[in-house]
Amino acid sequence: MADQTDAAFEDLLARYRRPVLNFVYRLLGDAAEAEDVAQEVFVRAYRHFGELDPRREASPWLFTLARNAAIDRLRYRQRHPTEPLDSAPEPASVSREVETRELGDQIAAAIQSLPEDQRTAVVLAEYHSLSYAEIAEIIDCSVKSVESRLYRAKATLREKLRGFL
Amino acid sequence: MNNQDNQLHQLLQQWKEIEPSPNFDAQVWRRLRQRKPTFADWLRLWLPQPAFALGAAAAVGAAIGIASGWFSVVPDRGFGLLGPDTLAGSYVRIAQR
Repeated sequence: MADQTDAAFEDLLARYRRPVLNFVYRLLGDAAEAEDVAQEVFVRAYRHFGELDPRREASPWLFTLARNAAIDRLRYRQRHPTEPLDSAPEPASVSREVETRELGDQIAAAIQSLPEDQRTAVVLAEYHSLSYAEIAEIIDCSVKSVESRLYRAKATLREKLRGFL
Repeated sequence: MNNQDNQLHQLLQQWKEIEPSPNFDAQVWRRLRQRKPTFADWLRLWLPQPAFALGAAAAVGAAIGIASGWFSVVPDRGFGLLGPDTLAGSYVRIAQR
């Protein structure tokens, strides 16, 4: 019984470790933290493995767990803010830094600036190709609400990244 | 997807994926081994066993039986603060007359 569960869980881990890790990474914007949180997601998944309906796709269930774990981490960050190691740069150097920052970092920063619900919706739609109905299940809202969140998120991203479009 | 959306989609793909560390799975299993089982885990493990389920049901039934017997006993109101030898009891008796 336990061996069967472990084997099924191994399959789940092999199939979803990368999507879950990257989903968390795009929500948190930090690779090391994402690795830690993604591992915790699979620990939670193992403990609630009995709730998973084998006839249904596992991704909405797993992404829901991942989103909750990422939200927990974001709340922890708010309660325990860390001081940056470097002192704040001068405004002139900020603009120079922004100019030289890599495109990926700028996209990451733009996505990080979105409210959590819009960020989740846009990450699931753009990077994981989930349908509006699946996103609605994960965020626990209506399909209409997903459409509205994506519309606002994309408008903000176009504005922040207009120099690259 | 309209042209604007398509452009944005293409741009967003420039933020590249990261790879799980080589010991990702091993770390997950290590965490699972380290974690102490909770009461819910313990129940999930044992409740499907018929002998345990029968024993647990008998224990709950016995507890309910004892509790209902305990609370059905009517307390003796003749003693305590309103007993015959107390000042309060004398006052109550006078007031009742």
